This record gives sequence, structure tokens and C-alpha cells, in this order.
Amino acid sequence: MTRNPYLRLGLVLALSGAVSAPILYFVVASVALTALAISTIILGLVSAMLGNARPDISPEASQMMLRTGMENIAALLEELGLRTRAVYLPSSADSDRPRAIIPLSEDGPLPGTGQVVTGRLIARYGPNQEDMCLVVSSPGAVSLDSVAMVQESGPDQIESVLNQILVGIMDLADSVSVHVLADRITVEVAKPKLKYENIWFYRCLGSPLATIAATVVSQALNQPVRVGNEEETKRGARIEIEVLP
Amino acid sequence: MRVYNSFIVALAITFTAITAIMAAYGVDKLDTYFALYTIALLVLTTLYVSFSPKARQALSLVSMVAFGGFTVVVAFKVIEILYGE
Repeated sequence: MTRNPYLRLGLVLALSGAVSAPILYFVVASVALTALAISTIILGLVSAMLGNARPDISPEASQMMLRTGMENIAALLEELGLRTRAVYLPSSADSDRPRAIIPLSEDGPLPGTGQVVTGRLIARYGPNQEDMCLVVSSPGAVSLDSVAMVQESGPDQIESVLNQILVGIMDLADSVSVHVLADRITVEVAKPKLKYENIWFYRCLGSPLATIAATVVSQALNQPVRVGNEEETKRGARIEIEVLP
Repeated sequence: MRVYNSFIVALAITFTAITAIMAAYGVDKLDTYFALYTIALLVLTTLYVSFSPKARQALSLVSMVAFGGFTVVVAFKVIEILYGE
């Protein structure tokens, strides 16, 4: 018997419905109960199909890979002593994914709209020689691979794309709502499964939820953004994203 | 997989409600029940916008099968109306 609970439930429902439907129709002669058996078959098919749509990688394996990646970046940040907050840039025509840059100097200039960075780990992002930064791929950038998101689609698309990623695909929260206020975007995440931790990685890049939100906002507005603030609320988490000019 | 659980529960509640209401009104035609189940499935699938593309593709297969059955039911009804019994 399969270990996939949805597939198991689907098989049980579909088989029990298929067996009971003719008995209820011909022996019991009840149309309502026969209809209920037919609905059980449909429910079983839906459950089995949803079971097939589950990702092949187990949540434990995914968590292990996320932690490994985070710990590696955190070690790099700590070794370099970087405390500046990361700036999320939208993908440009010549780069395949949106990226986050972490300026090496806290006093350095902020990257502007249309800023392009190379795919290298350490790159120059400003006009001066000392405007150097670390270029990293965030979990948010990779998550965009699984959704059809149009770049520069505007703030309207942010909420639906975030719901699709965080609720539908990753199952990291119950719902997501977005409020746009000029150069500040607030993302409310209801019942998140990942909590904010006061660690170097989160202080620099933001929590995984914040990196996903920042990447989506940056792509939708086609502007650089950074995570302003993250706080826990009664409903879950509030992430404030600053849109840079 | 909370979104999958919520969808399955919502579908089960809707199907049960449809059956209870139709039975209370004394409807004894299986095709009517089936048509309503299909409509409920299509409506709920559309309402759950946060499904992943893979899940949506899988559900569209079930919806297509159910819609095929619904079309056959409608076709029989049209033939019945046009040519009588």
C-alpha cells in the first residue's frame, strides 16, 4: 500500500464508492444514497490526483537542504562581518533569476532602478571602486521558477503570487494579504510555519518568508527593495518592505 | 498540505449538502445529482486560486472527466426533449 496519504484516501474512497453504488441502486433502491456513493468516487479521484501532485522530495529533505544553504551563507556573512541589509533586485534581461545583493560597506550607495549585477559572488554595483557587494540567490528567487509571474505587473499581482507560492505551493502559511502604501509595502502572513529567528542570516537577508515577499515585490514593481522590518503579530507575521527609488 | 486538506473537506461538505438538500426535495434522478456535483467541483476548483500548477493540472483531469459525464447527461436530456420518450 502506498505511503502517500492522499493516494491511500483516494483509493479507499473510490473503491468503496464503486462497490456500494450498484448495491445501493439495485438492492437498497435509494437514489440519494447512490448519489452519495457517486460523490464518494469523485472525492476519491480528486484525493488521488492531489496525491500525485505532491512534490517527490519529502519535507524533511527540503528542510535539511534549506538549513544547509542558510548555514553556508550565514557562515560567509559572519566571516566577512557584514551587517548591511540585503537589497533585492529584479531580474534583468541578461540574468535568469532575481538576485539579492549585500553591500560590503554600510555607508555605500544604494543600488537604483535598472541596476544590473553580474552572476559572480562578489561584484561591483556602484560607480566607485569600493562599491562592492555579495551577490546571492535567495529562496524567493528560486520559488519564482514555479509560478508564471510577469515582470513589472504592478502591485495587484503581488498578493496573488505570494498566496500561490506561500499557501499553494510551499504550504508555509494559511493566507497572505498585501497593503501598498507609497514606498512601503506591508505583507501580512497568517499562521506562518517558519518563525523569525534573531540570527545573522535573518538580520541581513530576512527570514525565508521575507526573502520570498521581497523578491516577488521587486519583480512585480521592477524596482530594488529591501526588508524593512519583521514582527510577529496575533495573526502571524508582518513583513515591511521598503521600495528603493 | 493544509490547502489540499481544506479543498477535500470543502468538497465533501458541499457534496453532502447537495445530497441532503436534493433528497429533502425528493429528487430521484441520478443525472441531476451528478450535474450538481460536477458544477460544485468546477466552482470549488476555480475558487482555490492558490493551487500549484501541478495540482491544478491534476484537478483539471478530474474536472474534464466529470464535465464529460455532465455533457453526456445534458445530451440525453436534449434528445429526450426533442424526441420525447
